[in-house]
Amino acid sequence: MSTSASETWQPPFGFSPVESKLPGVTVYAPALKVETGPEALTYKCPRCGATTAYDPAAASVICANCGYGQPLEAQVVGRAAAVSEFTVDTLARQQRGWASERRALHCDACGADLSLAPNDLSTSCPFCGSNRVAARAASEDALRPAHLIPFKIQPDRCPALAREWLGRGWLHPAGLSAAAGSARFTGIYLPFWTFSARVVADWRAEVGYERTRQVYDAGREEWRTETVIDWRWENSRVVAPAHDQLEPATTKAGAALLERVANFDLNALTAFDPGFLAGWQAQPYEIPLPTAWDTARAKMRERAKQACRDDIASAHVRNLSVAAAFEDEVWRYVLLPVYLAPYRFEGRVYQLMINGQTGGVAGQKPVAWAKVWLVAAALLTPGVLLALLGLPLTLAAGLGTPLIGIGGLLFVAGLALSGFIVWQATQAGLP
Amino acid sequence: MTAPLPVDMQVTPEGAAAWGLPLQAAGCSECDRVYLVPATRLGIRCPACSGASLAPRPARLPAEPPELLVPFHQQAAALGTALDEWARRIWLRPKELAGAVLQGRLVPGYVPMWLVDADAAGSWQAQVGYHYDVASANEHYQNGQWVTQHVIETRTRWEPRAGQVRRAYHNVAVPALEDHARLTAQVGEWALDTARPYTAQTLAEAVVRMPSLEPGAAWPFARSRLDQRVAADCQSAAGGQHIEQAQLAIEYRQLHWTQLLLPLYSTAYQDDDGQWIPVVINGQTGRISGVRRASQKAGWQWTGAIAAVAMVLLVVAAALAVAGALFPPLVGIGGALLILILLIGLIAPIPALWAWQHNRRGAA
Repeated sequence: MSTSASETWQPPFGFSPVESKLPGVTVYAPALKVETGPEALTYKCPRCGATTAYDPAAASVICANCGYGQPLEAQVVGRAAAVSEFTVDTLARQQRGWASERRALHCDACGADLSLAPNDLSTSCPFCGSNRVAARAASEDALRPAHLIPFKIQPDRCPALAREWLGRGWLHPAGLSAAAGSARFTGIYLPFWTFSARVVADWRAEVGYERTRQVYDAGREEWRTETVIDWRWENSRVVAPAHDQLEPATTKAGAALLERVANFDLNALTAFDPGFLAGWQAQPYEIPLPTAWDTARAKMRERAKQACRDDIASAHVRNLSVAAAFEDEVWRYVLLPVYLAPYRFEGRVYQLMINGQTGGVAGQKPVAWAKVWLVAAALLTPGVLLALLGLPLTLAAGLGTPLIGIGGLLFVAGLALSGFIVWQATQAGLP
Repeated sequence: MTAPLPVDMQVTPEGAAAWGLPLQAAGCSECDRVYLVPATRLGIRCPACSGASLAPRPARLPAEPPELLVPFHQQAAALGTALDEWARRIWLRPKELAGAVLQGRLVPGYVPMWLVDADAAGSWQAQVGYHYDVASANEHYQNGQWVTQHVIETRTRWEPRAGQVRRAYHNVAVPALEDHARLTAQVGEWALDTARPYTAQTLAEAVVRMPSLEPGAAWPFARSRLDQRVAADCQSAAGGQHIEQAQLAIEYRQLHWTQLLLPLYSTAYQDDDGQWIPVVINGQTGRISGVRRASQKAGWQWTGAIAAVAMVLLVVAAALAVAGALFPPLVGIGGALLILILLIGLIAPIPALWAWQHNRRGAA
């Protein structure tokens, strides 16, 4: 018999044998991508041996010494970046954690042995200053980031951005913008989780509808109009999708500051390439996935509840109940670029943060409270003065009542405006 | 594709001798079906169509006796009540459509399936589905508070798999009758895992239907069943819970065909026109199937009886109308009677119409 088809059979390209659970049947599966490169890369210039780093302007790894550049070819995937599901296995691994293990890395430049936490992504050799970056792309198992947004804002633009932001507003001390010179800008990739889900919310509530009716008032002997509310049970369904909700995975930067600065454009999400981290700090996640997901889910369900409330065509609602089912929940672990810049003013340290993609600034600003109180006093004074002028005129000639009235109105308006200014000043001073 | 090996077929009586019993081949001149029957059953009505009596005729039979046989679980003596209940579900039925009549004509029989053994060798490629668990949540808001209910959902991840197969398959059951699908639609499937090795004693006085699909004709069915088995084995080998888009390039060799016999009772009744209507009963589950014809004659009798009552009442109404000339209140009674006659007149055709409609629907 000639050679049969089964004897000449070849597995499809890229398939490798896997365990078969039945005798007489062989099984081939697509080969797992095993990264065979070094676990970490050392960024040294191949031409002059100096340390190289990622340059946002050139979108390349550049040698500051001789100008040698190595362009990065990482693909911009945007919001199409791969997502992961909340598999029970992943969550269980998150509960166990890996933070206790550390890896030993060898510096190729000077031969020193370095100790690196398992999730740490980049470091500089303390002996020779070489930039070392974890080179292997993220896999779900290792929970390493698969995507990032590269720095777009160059470090040398940061002082100007900080100066402009610090000099904005009159509530702050004069010369505050000059404090930008004392700031030390540290570019760092901070870890974030992104969450997407579809929330199907079934609501049920008693909804009140206003109705007017004529009622005879026996005391006054007249008919009057009265508004009554008719209550009835209603129910409906609202679908509230949430796309790429960002949740910080770090505790190092203040949550309030992060929230103000984290208006990242996720359309610029790029596949992880260790080159982007060369010369930049990168922090692994500290807030585990389940904890961050709890926070995100709480926000999503509140939005779903609000969507249910908005679905009701009346302002009168009571006994509202909502059953919100989460569907298609997915997550990503991403690194986003931020400059941290603590600055000193009059002996105190304030936090400043710059979005490394958009240049948006957020932070703490000292408040010139003397200015604030002076303005508040100036706003209250006209009302008080008019009232004081009207009082003797009323007592003497009975003519001051209008002045007292106008003074009272001006006082109330001044009080409201002062309150707003003090509130703004308080907000500006918050972390 | 490998062609099936021919089965050694012999012309009776040599073929029948292999069964260990003095069986004779007999056929129905009406439906052309062929049976192996004991001599005592020659001349009985065809169990399948009841259209003619079984008469001896030569037939091609497999040289080997059946390999397996599913025994009767329902005893003929115990089927009377079930047949009676089945017959009573129709209102105007022929006299012969009665449990006792049907039970009296019960003939035990067997219908065949092929059992195919084959060695499979070749390659496969498919999408294999693996279950995995995903954590999700349902949130309930009531009285100003959220309550979280964590749920685990099982989802399926599809992954490509490929490989080779080299396995032997035994006793893959394949239809041996052209009307096998119609028969299972009538009386349901048999539980084949209860099959026992064939012995001549178990056959007793039963009438055995001969395959109408010889192995060559049954091979497409056999190949399809074998492919299903191979695909299921590939799924098991890959450790998956589902398989789809299976592309099999399998050669089947060393084919061996034997028979499996399935128990089936047959009986029949005559309708008003003297036409024989067959009824079949699954010998394992007791499920009964057959056409229940209505008695058109009984329908006309009922219609006639009701019409006669109406006529009598009409005469009475006419008498009351005449008497009304002397005693006027009787005219009113006569009028009411006329309305009653009208109603009865409307009801009268219903039995005849119902029987006609039932038989027409049954024929369709």
